[in-house]
Amino acid sequence: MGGNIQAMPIAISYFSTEESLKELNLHKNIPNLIANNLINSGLFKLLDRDAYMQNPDQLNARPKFRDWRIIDAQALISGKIIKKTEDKLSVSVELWDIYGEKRMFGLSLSSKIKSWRRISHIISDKIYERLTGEEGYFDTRIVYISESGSQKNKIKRLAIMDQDGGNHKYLTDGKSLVLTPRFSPNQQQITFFSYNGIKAGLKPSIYLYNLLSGKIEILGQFPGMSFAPRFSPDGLDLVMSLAQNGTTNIHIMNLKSKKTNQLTKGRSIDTSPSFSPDGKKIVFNSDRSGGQHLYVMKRNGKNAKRISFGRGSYATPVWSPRGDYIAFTKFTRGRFFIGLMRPDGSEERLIAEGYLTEGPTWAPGGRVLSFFRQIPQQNGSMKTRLFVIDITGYRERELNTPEDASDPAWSPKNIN
Amino acid sequence: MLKYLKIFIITVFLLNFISCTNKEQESLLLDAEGGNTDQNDTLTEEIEIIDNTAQTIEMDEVELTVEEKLSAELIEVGDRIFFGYDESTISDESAEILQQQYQFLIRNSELSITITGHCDERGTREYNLALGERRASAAKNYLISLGISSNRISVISYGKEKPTVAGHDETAWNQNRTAITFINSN
Repeated sequence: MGGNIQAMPIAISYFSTEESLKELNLHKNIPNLIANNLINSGLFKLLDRDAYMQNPDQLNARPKFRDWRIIDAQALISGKIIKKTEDKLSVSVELWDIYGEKRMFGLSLSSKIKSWRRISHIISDKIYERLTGEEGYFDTRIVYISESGSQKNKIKRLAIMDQDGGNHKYLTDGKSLVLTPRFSPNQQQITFFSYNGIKAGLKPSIYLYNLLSGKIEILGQFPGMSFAPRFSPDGLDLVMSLAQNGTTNIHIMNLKSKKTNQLTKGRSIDTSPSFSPDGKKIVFNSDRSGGQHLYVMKRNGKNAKRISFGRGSYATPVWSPRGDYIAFTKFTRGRFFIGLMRPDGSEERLIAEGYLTEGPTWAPGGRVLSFFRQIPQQNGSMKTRLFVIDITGYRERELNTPEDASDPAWSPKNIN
Repeated sequence: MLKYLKIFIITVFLLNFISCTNKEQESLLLDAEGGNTDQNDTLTEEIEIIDNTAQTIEMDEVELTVEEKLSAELIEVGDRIFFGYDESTISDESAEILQQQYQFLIRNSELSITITGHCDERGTREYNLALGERRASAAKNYLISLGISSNRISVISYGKEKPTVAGHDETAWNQNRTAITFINSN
């Protein structure tokens, strides 16, 4: 599909179900959630259900393709829900090619009834992958910083939600300032920066949150402030910055042994490191040449090469999980932008802008990103929200959050 | 009537300045300001507010602790220095303030301090954490060069997280590019 902006018209029928399940309304909620995911991608257009000539029960057999061609559907999704036990159900889904008059795939999933959202996201991924050839990103979560309070006294809490805003949950109580959360590759851990413990004399530091146990641990005590953490693609190491005596350098820490190695040297500010998906290189932000620019170095810190040469300041580089782009924040002529460039610095382009836009994060598949934006309000205050955009720069949309939101981090794909 | 109120508000500001901030005073100040902006329909009510506040101010003066007095003294000699955009150099003006802080630390040789580094909001979060550390360290190193022992000075960077002035314009940004010295409580 790539740069094709025309959305594909698809039909997503309500599912057939047994009488005893009807009161749960899942036969409507599941196809609605699938439709919501696919439409949000911007690549699909849902055909009005009032125009469908076959009902969900009739679709248990092979569809009458002619009936769907009349309304211009290129693909049809049908499904059936069966109750397996008191709290378990099975959902089977079929994707039909209307013009080829054939079944593209069938899929059957069973789980606890309460996991119906998860089932819907997994189905969405399979359909998206089949129709676009790209990796799906719907069965994922976003961890971010929820903001409340006044500008001078912000309360910041770690929060997590499904990529569509479902299952929203706060992970910390807001008593200590938390910033810049990032997922581990197995998405069971979140690393973040916090001022927790400064009253007890601890430096502001990097912490690790275990999503399964809910346990929070501090990742070592350093002579200076440790911040800007990110996992290596294999999850064994963490890159981060250590600031001491006016200098900020990049270090790598082995999470098992807790041994650290210094990767950059000198009097400059080197920060916001991010690994290439093969784990062999690190892109980071440095002011060693005067202005803030992006550099790529080997994992061992050798061979640092500048890759950004445009006007303005470049920051927060993040390597796409596919390896083909580096997303970044750029500040120039009083405005902030989210931009993309190839790992060698070529083909730079800006895809989003604002009074302040910052902190891009990639969805699995490397075709969609999230970032946050501060939006000036009439009364002089600021609204801070999360946004999603794809690499073409089209189809930008706001993600709903209960309060102001910043520092999004998209999870890797769920492991089934 | 209005004249009285003005004088009163200035008094409270001065006392606030001297005694550092005090929660009770702050809320009373808000009350008084609220009274001021009310329509001038009931004169008697406003007079009551003035009386209440005046009493509390007297009590506060008595309650100043040693630490509060020292903090007030530090604020008077100059507790903060300012920086240019994306800069951490100590200006001549800042150097004078740091020399005052040095004198203060010599006079109170038992004190240790924390310098917090701050940035305006026109930068990314992580870069600003580093820049705030660089600013606080610049102040620390200046004090060390004058002869203060490094183990009396800690630094904390708040990046763009704790602006001292609210607002999203040049005036606020200028105030928020700062390094502020605090006395550590024991």
